[in-house]
Amino acid sequence: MTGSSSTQPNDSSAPLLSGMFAFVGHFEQVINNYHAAISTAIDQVSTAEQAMIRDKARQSDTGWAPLADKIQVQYSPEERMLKYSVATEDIKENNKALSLEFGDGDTPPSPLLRSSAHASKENFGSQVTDKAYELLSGGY
Amino acid sequence: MTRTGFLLAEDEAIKKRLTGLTVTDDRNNTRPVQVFFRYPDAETEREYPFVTIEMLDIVHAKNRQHSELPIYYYNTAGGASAPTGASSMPNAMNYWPSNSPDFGYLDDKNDFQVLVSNEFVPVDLLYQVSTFTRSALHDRQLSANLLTKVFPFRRGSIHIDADNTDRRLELLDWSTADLLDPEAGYRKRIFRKVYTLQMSAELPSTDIYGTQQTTEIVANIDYTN
Repeated sequence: MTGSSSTQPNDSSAPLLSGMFAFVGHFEQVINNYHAAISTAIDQVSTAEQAMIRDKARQSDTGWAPLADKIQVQYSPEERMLKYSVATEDIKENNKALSLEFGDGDTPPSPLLRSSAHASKENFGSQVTDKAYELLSGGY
Repeated sequence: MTRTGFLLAEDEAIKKRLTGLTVTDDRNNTRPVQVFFRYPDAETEREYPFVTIEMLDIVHAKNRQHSELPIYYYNTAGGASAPTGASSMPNAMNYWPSNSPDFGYLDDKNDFQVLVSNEFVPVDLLYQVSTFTRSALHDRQLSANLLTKVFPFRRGSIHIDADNTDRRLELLDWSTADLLDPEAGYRKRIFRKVYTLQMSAELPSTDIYGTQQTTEIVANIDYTN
């Protein structure tokens, strides 16, 4: 019999439509907040990395402990990787950091910065992705 | 004689790569560049320029890690008949890392037709190579030579004699880290360049086991009383 469907509303279409709108709404939110989430994720990952390497330096018996609070980890957008440095204006501290990292006639190298950079190279991308996903699915 | 063994073979290869370098100046057209492992002791007579090699770290190369499936070497000298193209198959075992290109060091190798092990565990070796010179000219010459010929940036490789493999040798970073010479009362400058290198290597995950080759597969087995 034709025309029967117009007299009986299809109940199943309503939840499907509202589900689709929710889906579209979610993606709109993801697109609007994508850059902010990536930026926040990079900041959080580099801050966590800096805290970790500073802890490592404090516990090290190779001479890094007094320089621990001067170690900086920053994201370099040009190279798309974390850059490790010792931020100090003091020439003695700078020389000490150089001697520790690269060694000299008296001290063998204890490459804290290079080892950390090498280790983070592999994990950085996935850590940022995980963090951004976490932010986009909940926080934003 | 080739040095064998994990790290020993790699150390030798990197020293071999650096041995024979020369620099030129007004007095000497082929001034040799000495090579040392670690910074030489005070007792060691050193002449500038010289190069030092230091191993910094051994890191699990997770990006090259496989599932550690069995790998096989068909020992034709022991009577095996190798399947066509066996040595180029993904599960071929053609060398023992840092030790041997043909398993010749195994005394009882020919008692077995097939040698089996697990896939090797990939690791990266981090090395620091430093150049020390007294003159800026030597420093420039060595920098140019190392960056373009010895460890060419983005296209480095190295041959390991011990297992006859060619490995990746990546130049990760180079820095200027000049020093003041303590032997000259901290008045003279020593020009130093520091190169950080990454060499691929492998660690065996099990021993080698010798087995006999399967001669026949019987598909239908009849049970009789």
